[in-house]
Amino acid sequence: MELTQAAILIIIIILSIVIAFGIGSNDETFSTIYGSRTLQMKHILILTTIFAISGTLILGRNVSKTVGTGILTITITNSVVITVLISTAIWLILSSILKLPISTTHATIGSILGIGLFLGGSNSINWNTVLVMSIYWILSPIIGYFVAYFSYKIIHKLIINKLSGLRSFERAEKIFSYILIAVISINAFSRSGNDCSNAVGILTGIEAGVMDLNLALLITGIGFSLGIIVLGRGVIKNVGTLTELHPSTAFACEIPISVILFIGTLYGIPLSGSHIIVGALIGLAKARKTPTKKGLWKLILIWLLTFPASALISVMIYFPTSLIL
Amino acid sequence: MKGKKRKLKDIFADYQSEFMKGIKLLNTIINNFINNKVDKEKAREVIISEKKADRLKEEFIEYLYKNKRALPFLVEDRYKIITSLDKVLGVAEMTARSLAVYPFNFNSKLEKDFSNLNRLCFEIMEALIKATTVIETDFDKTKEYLSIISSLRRSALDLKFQMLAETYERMDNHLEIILFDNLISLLYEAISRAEEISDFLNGLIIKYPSR
Repeated sequence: MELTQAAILIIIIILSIVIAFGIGSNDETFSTIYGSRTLQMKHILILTTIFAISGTLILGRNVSKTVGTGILTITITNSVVITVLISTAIWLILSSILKLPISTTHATIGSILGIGLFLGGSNSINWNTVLVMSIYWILSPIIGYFVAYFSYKIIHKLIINKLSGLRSFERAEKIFSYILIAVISINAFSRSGNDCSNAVGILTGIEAGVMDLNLALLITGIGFSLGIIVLGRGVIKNVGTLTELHPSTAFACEIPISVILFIGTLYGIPLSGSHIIVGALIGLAKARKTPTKKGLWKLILIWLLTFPASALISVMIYFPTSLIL
Repeated sequence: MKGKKRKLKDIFADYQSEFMKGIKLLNTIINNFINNKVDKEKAREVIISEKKADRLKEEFIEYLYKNKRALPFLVEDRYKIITSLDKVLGVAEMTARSLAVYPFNFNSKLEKDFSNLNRLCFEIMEALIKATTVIETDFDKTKEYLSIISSLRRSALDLKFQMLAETYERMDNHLEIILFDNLISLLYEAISRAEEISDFLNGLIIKYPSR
């Protein structure tokens, strides 16, 4: 291997780790488990590491995920793809430092828009696709709100209200917590496999033949879990404590949302998991007549800023990236 | 998991029986005191019983926090129940100790009221222990015991002030007044603390179904 080729490979490996780190840093999958005190943070981090690496190794093989297709009408080069992924990762890391959950797809589209507008002007953007996606991002927290509100009411009426005695409550909560752990573990497993495919794609796509796929998957899996361990824990804590949670209320929030997200994926509806869970926690608080944590405006603000900020970062990053690649 | 759960329940059951043993002993000491009989041996037994209960409480707390429960806040609630019961038993011990060193004869005119207060205290403690048992399985039954505690506590409060009024009227010896006042207050403090636990249990009955 030539020196320059080796240097590029090292840069690409670092970039893919940064991207996987960024995605992992904003992963709030285990937030309700933390909020309901079903598991302690150290156990959550062990589980997320296991699922991040195994999910990437097993499910991340499907690296056919394309960045920008359907949104940009211009030719998508390697430097465009890398720019989009790095700027997305940077915005995800910045949000994670502020402990605020954002939609990864939202940030990616923002970056794509930025680079698209910069390289090809407004004609290079498929605005209809962007509009449809934006509507779903607005709809996501609203859907989460109502789903959690009504599922809590139903669970409360059918199960909680019929319990009597501390022991029966404890037994019921234990069952809820087991189901919750199982469902969220499956979510974490599939999410890491799906989200890491972008970072894996860089390693296997750009340096085709140079990097072994298993090694590439392992590197991104480690990057993803590092993101959760270093910064993701803050996001998990912040989202998990938006309102008071117990295993039963976390169940009322998470299970219907998982079903909705699954249906969304099945029909190709780009719902945002982060937006839905935040909306659901607010809906849950409303249904239970309990307060939510102060500072919800920061969440709304970061959601509104995601498009312009990631677009701006992508334009700034395009120059150094295009020089390297 | 089943074995572990039974063990926690068993420790609490042991604690409850030690608690009631101490309360029964106090009841006997007070009855003897009314008949001007100072029973130092029984007072010592109350102290021993309190110590045993204390050890059981520590065992219970250790078990409670070392083993993962499905409802972490239930751990805190159970912790509060046992520590509050322990405070009641602590007051019972203080009362027994005070009775053992009381330097005057009992004023016979207060015999009926003091005997009644003693009976009420015992009945309240009995209802409290039953409430802490049934709250694990039946909220409705718990409410019945809590309502008994509430009504008995009101009668105990009336009795306390009735006795204090009589004490202040009839006794000439100031030291006797102070010490007897202290005795009545200690006994009523145990009752009052029992009612605080009763209120806490009532809060749990409301809190859990409305989560």
